[in-house]
Amino acid sequence: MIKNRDTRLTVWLLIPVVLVLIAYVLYPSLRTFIESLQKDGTISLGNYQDFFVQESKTNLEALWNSVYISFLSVLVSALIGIPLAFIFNRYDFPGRSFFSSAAILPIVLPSLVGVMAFMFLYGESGLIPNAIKDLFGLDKVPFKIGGVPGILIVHAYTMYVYFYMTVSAAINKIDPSLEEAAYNLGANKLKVFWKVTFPLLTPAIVAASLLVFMISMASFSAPFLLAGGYRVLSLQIYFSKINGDMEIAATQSVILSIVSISFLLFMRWYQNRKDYRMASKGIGAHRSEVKNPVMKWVMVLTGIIGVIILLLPHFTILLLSLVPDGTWTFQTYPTVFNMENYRLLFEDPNIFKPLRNSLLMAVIATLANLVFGVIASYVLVKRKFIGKSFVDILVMIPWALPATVIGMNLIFAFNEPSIFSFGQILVGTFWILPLAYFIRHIPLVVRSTNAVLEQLDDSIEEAARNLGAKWFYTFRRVIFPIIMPGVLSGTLLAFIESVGEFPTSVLLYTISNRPISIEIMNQLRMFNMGQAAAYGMIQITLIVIVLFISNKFFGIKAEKAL
Amino acid sequence: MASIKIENVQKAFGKTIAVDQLNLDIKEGEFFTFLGPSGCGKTTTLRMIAGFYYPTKGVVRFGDKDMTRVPPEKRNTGMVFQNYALFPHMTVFENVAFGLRVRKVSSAELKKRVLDALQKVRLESYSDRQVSQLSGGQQQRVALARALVIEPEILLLDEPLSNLDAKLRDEMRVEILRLQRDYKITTIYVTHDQAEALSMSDRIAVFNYGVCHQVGTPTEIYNRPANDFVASFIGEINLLPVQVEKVQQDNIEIVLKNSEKPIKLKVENQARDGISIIQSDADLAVSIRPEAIRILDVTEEGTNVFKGKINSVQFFGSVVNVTVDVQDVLLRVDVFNTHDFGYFYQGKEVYVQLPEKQLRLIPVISGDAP
Repeated sequence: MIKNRDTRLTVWLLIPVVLVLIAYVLYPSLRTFIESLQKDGTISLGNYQDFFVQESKTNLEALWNSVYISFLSVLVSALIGIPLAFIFNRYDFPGRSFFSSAAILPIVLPSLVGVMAFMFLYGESGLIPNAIKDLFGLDKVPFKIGGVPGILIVHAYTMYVYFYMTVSAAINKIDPSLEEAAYNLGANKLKVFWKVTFPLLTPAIVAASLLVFMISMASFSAPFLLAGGYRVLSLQIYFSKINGDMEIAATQSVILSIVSISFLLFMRWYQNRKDYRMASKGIGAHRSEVKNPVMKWVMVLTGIIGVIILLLPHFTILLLSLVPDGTWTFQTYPTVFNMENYRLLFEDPNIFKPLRNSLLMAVIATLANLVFGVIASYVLVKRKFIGKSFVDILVMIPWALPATVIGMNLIFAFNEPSIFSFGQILVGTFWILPLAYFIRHIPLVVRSTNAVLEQLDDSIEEAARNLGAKWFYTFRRVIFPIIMPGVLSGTLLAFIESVGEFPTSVLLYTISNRPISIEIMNQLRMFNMGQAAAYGMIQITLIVIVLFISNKFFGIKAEKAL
Repeated sequence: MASIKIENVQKAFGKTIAVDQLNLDIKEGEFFTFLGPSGCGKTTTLRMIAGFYYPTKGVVRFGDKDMTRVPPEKRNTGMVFQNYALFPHMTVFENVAFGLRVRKVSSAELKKRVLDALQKVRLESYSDRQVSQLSGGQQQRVALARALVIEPEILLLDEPLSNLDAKLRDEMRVEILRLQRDYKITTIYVTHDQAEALSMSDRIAVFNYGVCHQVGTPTEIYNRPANDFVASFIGEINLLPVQVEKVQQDNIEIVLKNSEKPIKLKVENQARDGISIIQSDADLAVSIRPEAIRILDVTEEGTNVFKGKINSVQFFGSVVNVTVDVQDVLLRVDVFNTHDFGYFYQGKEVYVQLPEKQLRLIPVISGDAP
């Protein structure tokens, strides 16, 4: 037996963590990999050969399209996010702080709901193109989004936030005296920017670029609703699965995983390699007031227009949710508004059921995330053991893996009995979706808990033990109460994401256990926009409540956990 | 209250040895200080006593009890951390009460003891405050009260004053000593500040590179350092490499090494350790404190009187620090400000005397990083 009590405790905490990670992260990925090697009942690389040398080149084209869209998404998001970060953090003008918090609004929109809003706003029968058509008396709509530009617009809308947030954080960390030193040494504004400020921001920009690239490689909802005939890899996986080509779906999953995981590893390597941590402490805000009145009001006006554009999708969803189904058919604009959709949602058990399902499954998954996240994070941050970086990578894998791949992994792992599912077949049961949500949000909860635990000085725990408290008492009475705000804000975020989760749901749901996102999809197919929008509004409301609680009661910006 | 015995203790972290061959015997009720530069092993030793580290080799005893592998929560030590480690989510009262709650003390007695402890550190009116509302010195006193209220056998203080400003530090130094006397508790105090160590301790252990170089009372450590590390770490000192010429009944004749025209000195023959040092094959140095050197205007009969020239004069208020060049050997001399030191100026020729009794031969061990 291990003599040292602390070592023994580490082992006891580590065993469940590692078991869960092996059972639900590593094993499913391996199952998919094994599946991809099956070709006509033998083991071979035949599927990969087909992927790359297939005559129709569909797969290769999909891979290329995914990379192409991701690359453009990074570019467009950067072009919006970086200047915004500069304007809001370096200049002071009326309404600055309001606009800067409004800039994260796109987060408050679940991906499927967001895409839906964009379709109604800018699509063929969208409100904006039609409004312009009527306003100028045009014969047909001047523009409509769809295909690659459509996907790009949605991506830019949601993903510029990552650039905005990381670059803002980096700008605020720059010690103003560094730039002042450069001015003092005779550099002009342009030179200071390119030689001092920009190099200091490079790590943040690279990190955001990698992140956005990964997220758009994995993006599912936007291509699902907007791509038309355009093929991207994440969508191809779904089609292969629907068509029953499981071996091909597995091969596509493995290739998409390899791309994503290499990005994760590259990102880890990059962040560990270069660290421009500022040596100075207590950096004050460093904003110059915009003095030119014309410039000032141009900025305010731009800010207001920006906020309107950012809020239009939310507003559209709200508007649509008030339009009863069947009242907006041939008219260009809806005419009847009432609370019918909400009444039905809460009165008709069939319409309420998806909401109930989603909430129940999200609660189960989130509770599991909370328990697992706190234990895993404690072990990773506060304990020493061999193989830590391996556990760390296992924790991060669900973050790097596209949701579609996680869904496929679960299908391959649990469509037959295994010891990890206690001999049960999980696919086709209630439990597969909560499990998927749990896996999806492991990294989010662990990382937000890591952030607070890293802040917690080791001596706090030691002080409690020195005063005679055993480990569990210390954990319960000292550590957990201190880290709780950070943990809860991460957990609440996982909860709302679970409620809206679409890509894994669409692969794994059962008819009797449809979550909200699937029901939105179904209602859209039946052209019941109103009902779909009402579901969307429920999600938006939930998110607003959670962000509000986190900000108000925990004093934590929940979006930081992203 | 308990005595502490540390027997042949070694602590290794992987391949680095943080503490080696440590033997200490700390008496009941003693105020014992671990002094040394950062990374010398003093905090590691303290943490082995608290139970946060277990020794790689050796035994730690409280009284007669072997505590080597007892977990920290069962040692009944009270520790004050460098950053105080107050629980941020609790009030002052709750912080101090924590150890008593763990011990399941009844609520009436708990309240009495907590308020009593808060009174001892003069914070009774702050009991409902959040710890974040307190100043550094007040937080420090909460940490002390929290450690003392459990009536520990041993009080452990890990650089408790290093985060305070100079004035508060003086105040807390007195406060800590007063509490230690009040509770008559065996206390181990870790510091890198020699002034704290000298002014507070009953005894001091001087550490460097994981080795304890000397254990002794403040006067022993200052006046009779065991080697050049102890000599130069504590206070200012003139250290000059030497060679022994002749050992006589009551003195030893030595020659300074780094001088073109060798300077010969006579050193009192310290029967207790002088001979053994000479007999060992260690390099030797002669040491003398700056305040022990006499500056003379005119030459005087007597041993170790040399002619020199003043190299620099620095005024520090109570003390004037004069550097005298004696045949290319620079000697630092501290002279009390007698309000008429004006006759010291750069370039002035003076005589210095190095009193035989104040010179000590010590072995040179510096640069012995293992």
